[in-house]
Amino acid sequence: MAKLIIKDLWASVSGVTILKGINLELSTDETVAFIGPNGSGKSTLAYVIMGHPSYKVDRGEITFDGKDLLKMTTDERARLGIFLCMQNPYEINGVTNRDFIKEALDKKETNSNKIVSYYKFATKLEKAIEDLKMDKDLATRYVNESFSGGEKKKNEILQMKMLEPKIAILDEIDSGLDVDAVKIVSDNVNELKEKNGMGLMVISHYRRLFEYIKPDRVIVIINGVIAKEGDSTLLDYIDSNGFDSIKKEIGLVDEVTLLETCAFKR
Amino acid sequence: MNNDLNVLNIKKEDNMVIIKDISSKIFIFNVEKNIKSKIYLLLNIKEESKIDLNIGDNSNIEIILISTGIKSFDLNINLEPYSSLKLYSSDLYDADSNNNKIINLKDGSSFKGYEFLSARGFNISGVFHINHNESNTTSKSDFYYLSNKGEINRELSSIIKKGIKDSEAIENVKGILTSNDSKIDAKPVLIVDSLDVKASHGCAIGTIDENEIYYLMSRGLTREDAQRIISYSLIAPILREIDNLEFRELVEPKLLSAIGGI
Repeated sequence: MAKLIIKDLWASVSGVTILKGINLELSTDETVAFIGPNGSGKSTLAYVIMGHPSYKVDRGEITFDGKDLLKMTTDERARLGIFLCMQNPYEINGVTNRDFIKEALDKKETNSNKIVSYYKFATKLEKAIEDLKMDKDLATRYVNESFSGGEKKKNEILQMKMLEPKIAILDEIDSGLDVDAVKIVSDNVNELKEKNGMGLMVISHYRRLFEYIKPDRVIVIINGVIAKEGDSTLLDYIDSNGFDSIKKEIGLVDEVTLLETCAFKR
Repeated sequence: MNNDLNVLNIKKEDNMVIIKDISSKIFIFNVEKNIKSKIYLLLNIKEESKIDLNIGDNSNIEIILISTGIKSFDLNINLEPYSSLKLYSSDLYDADSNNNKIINLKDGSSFKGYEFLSARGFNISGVFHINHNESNTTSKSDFYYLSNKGEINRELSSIIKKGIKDSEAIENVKGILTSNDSKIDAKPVLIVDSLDVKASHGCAIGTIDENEIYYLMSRGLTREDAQRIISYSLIAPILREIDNLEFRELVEPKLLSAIGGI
């Protein structure tokens, strides 16, 4: 079974260190919930795994199935089977969803020397659109252009269903979705996981998502470090006590608080 | 026949393909009244020409106009009352050109335009004017330009004259520069001398957005694939309209070549 392994990962954006020594293992049959306060580094971790050029890896390793991801370009990582459902997907004017997804699928299958017939592709796309209860004209609309917040999130899941990755990172896939849409999206994620045995890194601020996508493990990230790890009961604990209790428990001090304390002492 | 004047009357209601060498000074296409048709025009401009395209009253026409050649032309399109025209056009020259397109709208007529131009190491200039000469007229125009070591200077304007009522004009420009020595100057201009109208315009010119490239790469496309698919998006609206195989075989290689032969 393939594993995503992260060792002592330090990463920064514009010279500011965000991730400070992350260690993590994720198998392709596991679902891990990532929670933490705003700005704690959850999305940074997602983008670093997916090789976004704005994020710099200062130290550490990321491997998947024994291969060094940090030596690979973003597209190579994607073709290896890693998929990032983005929090704010980009709009691409003039490129239709259908053309884009077909191109991505062809590229993925080039690796395995399979040929995707247009008929099979169109049938699969039509079913995926139906499963997600999306408008039928979505295939011919430009990628994410004039999509509502909810449509954009569903469009990310649509691409995931078509590309069938080994590991999917869902970055706040529930934000902007109404209650019914969260259920639809979750059902589709669970179905794909059941079918293919996909590993999931699920980032969210809301407990509701984890009612539908059940995590095997829960990881709390605070100030760029893994502050606590546990089973799904950790979600109940956070719900009752907030992140501050964990900060106190492990002796983590906010940088702002630390600065204020220093200034006071001076 | 006078070599300086050529007239072609279009009466058929079916789709038709017209492939012409334009070697006369004036060429006139007359489209009949009350017809609905899709017309594929491939014009090879051999002489500097004035081309008139007259759309008869109440006709509903779609034209895919691809021009090639060595000489410039002035195209005047006259829409008679209650006619409508969708025009997908591209001038695919391999050298400097100065082609002008003027659209004249009469009462109740509507125009939807899509123009793609590509300057690869040469200069393209000219105008694209839409004149709302009478009331109840609408126009929506998209201009998609690509410059690779070339220069595009295009004067784009929608003019709504004094006293015109219930009219609407929309202009959008998208320009992609693929090298440091590329230039696109194509500001959309609205000249409105009436209060009872809606008018809007937008313009975005620059290199391909790195975020767009990243997004496509995150789905497995290489950087080159991502650039190609984004460039292809400029000609896709024209190709999508072509359901005539003969015409497609003729123009698709030319359009692909205009985005870099990819």
